[in-house]
Amino acid sequence: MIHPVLLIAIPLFFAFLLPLISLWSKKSLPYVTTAVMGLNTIIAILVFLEAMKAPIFDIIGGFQPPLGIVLMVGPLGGFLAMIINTAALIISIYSMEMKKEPLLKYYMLTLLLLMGTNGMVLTGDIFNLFVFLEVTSIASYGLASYNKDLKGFEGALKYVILGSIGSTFVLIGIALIYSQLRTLNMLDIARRLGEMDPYTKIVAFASLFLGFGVEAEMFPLNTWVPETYDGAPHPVTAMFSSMSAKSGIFALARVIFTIFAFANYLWFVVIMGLLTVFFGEIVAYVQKDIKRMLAYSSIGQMGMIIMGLGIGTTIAVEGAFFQMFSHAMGKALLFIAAGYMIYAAQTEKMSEMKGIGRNPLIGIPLLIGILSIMGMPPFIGFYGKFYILMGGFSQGYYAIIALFLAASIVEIAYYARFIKIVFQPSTKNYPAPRSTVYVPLILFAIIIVLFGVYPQPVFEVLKHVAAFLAGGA
Amino acid sequence: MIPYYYIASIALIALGFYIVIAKKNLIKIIIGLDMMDTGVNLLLISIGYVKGGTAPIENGNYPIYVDPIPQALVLTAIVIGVSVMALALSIAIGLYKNTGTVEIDEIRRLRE
Amino acid sequence: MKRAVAAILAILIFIVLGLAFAKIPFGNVNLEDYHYYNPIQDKQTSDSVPAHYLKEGKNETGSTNIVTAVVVDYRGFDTLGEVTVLFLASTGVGSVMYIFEKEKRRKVRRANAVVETASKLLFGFIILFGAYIFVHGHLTPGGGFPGGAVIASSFLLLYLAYPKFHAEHKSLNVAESLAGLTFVGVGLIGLLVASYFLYNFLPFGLPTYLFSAGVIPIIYVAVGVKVGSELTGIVDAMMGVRE
Repeated sequence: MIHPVLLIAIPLFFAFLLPLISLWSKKSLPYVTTAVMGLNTIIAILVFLEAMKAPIFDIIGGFQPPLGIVLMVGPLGGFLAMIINTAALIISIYSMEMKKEPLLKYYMLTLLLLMGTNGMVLTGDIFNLFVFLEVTSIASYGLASYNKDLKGFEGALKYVILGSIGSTFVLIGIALIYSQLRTLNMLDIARRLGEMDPYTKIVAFASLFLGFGVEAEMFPLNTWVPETYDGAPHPVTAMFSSMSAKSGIFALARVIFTIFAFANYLWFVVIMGLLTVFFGEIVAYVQKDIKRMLAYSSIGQMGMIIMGLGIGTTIAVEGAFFQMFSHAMGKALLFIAAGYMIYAAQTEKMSEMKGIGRNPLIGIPLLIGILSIMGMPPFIGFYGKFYILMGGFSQGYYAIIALFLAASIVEIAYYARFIKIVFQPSTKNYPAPRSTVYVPLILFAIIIVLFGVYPQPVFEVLKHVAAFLAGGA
Repeated sequence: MIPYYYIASIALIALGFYIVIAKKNLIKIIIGLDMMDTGVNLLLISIGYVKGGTAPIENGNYPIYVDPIPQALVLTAIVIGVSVMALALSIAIGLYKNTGTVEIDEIRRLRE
Repeated sequence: MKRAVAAILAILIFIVLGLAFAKIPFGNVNLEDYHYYNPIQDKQTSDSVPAHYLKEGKNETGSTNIVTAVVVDYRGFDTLGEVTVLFLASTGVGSVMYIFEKEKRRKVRRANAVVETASKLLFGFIILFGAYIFVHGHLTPGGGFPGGAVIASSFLLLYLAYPKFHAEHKSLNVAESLAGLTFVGVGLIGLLVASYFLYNFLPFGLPTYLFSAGVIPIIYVAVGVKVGSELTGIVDAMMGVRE
């Protein structure tokens, strides 16, 4: 029997160990970090295979829930943990590009970010979820300001302010729930939700929803996203979009479906999602800097996921989970590519990046990533969008579907413009990418193509969405 | 009985929120965040109060104890709040060293 | 304009939350009234969670301080997260303040002789008091976090009295790491022994004795050392005092 708690304990143990290792050898830090993430990925795969059979309840401290804390890993949680750990492993290869001191702190922060995101996905206790939300966000604040220039500090400051407001609201929501039910276990809360006063219940839901919305990049709490992504180091940007945003959205899904099985208020979630999509995609269209464009596009994609969750039918939520997978892989790829392009072209302006994609080691993965994010078959991005749309049709949200399609067209337009710039012939000479850049790019591209052509394993996982919607793990 | 504790703590949260949104000075904003934190901690503590209860340390003299869980949660929440404040202040110091000011408008102007 | 929006939002928050909390009785609660549901065994119990802690906490954890029992044993995983958060803060502050390390120190006036002598004298006592607080965390009010904060305050006193003083970074880092490894290590031993992470695997001993409550004192000593060294590290990084 494999213990999911290892996914949290191992990165933590090595984060505490790294200062001691650095006394002995500073050069080994990146390799140790990558090795730990590799170990974590293996454990995540084992946990996922175990959770596919039956949901795992890992009791901490030996006390039965709700007396003690329990980790609750269903098939979807295991799937998401696997995505996050895999993405972390691949991004950690790119992290070896980092040369800026203090590297020890950098690797400690990345390990703790991984620990926090894993914890958010795995935990089955609402206050524990808050603690891991804080671990994730404080690690993110530290990483966002790592460049120590004006842009980095400004982005980090915005993130700190919005993040702490968000966590205050999460705590208020927990206080409201606790004051009426005197329990903190998610399934216990879900079971006894009827005892709550209806008005208090709505306020608690709204508080938790807004609080986790900050991490999930929901409109209007996402004003930190472009500046933080812009100011953060390139590997960190990839981590934000593929790790912390995913754990935030999964926490949101837990709040919506596991804790409050709210069928009546889901239209609210759909509208928030739609606003997020529109805000992200339209602002992305007018951006001139590559990282800002990708950041706004990330907001748009997160909006699509929130919409899928809000539509609430099995098909739509399947689409939302597929979209989480495709976005984690595709955006991490694009941010790594963007990091290389900014380094090679010495600027963030897209107009200065002519012909940079003509090097096949960069160009082919980049093209695959963009097509997947645009939602073209046969890449993984297609299934997510398609299923969300199908879900919308089945619920009769025709107007919303039309708006969603319009936003998708905007998205296709700006990515097409980007492709045109990057692949047009140019006489400029760019430095060749090192293996730490093209290896992660190719790995992500392989995953995107593989599961795009052969998506059956993912659909096998998504069969469990129905049980998740019914309030299971 | 009017729950003064709830009203005071919610007022603290609302005031802190107002400061965070309305003020332009970084240090004031961080103080506002701290006020929100304090308000929530006060709220949690007052939820755990039981009339006539005493601190939950067993020595056999008291029949009624207050709810121990909110106290444990507040302990965690305080430490988390301290950590966020420390990081926010160090980011403010960093901004100050980069720009020589803690006024948000000035910083924004300097960037352009 | 911005102020008006802020004021409206703040008033809105006040009203919405106020109405929500108006439904919650203050003080007038009977902790026995709540009945919890065990999701693993899928059964309803007559007990409520806080009442169970108050009734059984001493027997199940060996700690007379029920808050400590909750913090370190029942919800020990939260405390591990909390320690991590503080560790993150000290790492993050260290990372953010790193660039300024080579900066020249401003001229600081020496404190007067009274402050210097008194702080030298008090330093040991404050550390002793902090250690007392975290060693007795399972018996009396207090615990690892307040104890660690007291220890850090003794270092803060030295910083104030001696402008040139700075704590040895390497030893702070080593103390921090070892304390953190102890905490996670205790958890992992529990996982090996009983297949529960953070399981209280030591004998409880007699309540109200110093050596009781199993692993709780060990964890609290680790937490105390860790919090002390981390807060000192944060103070040190923010002071920016380097030679």
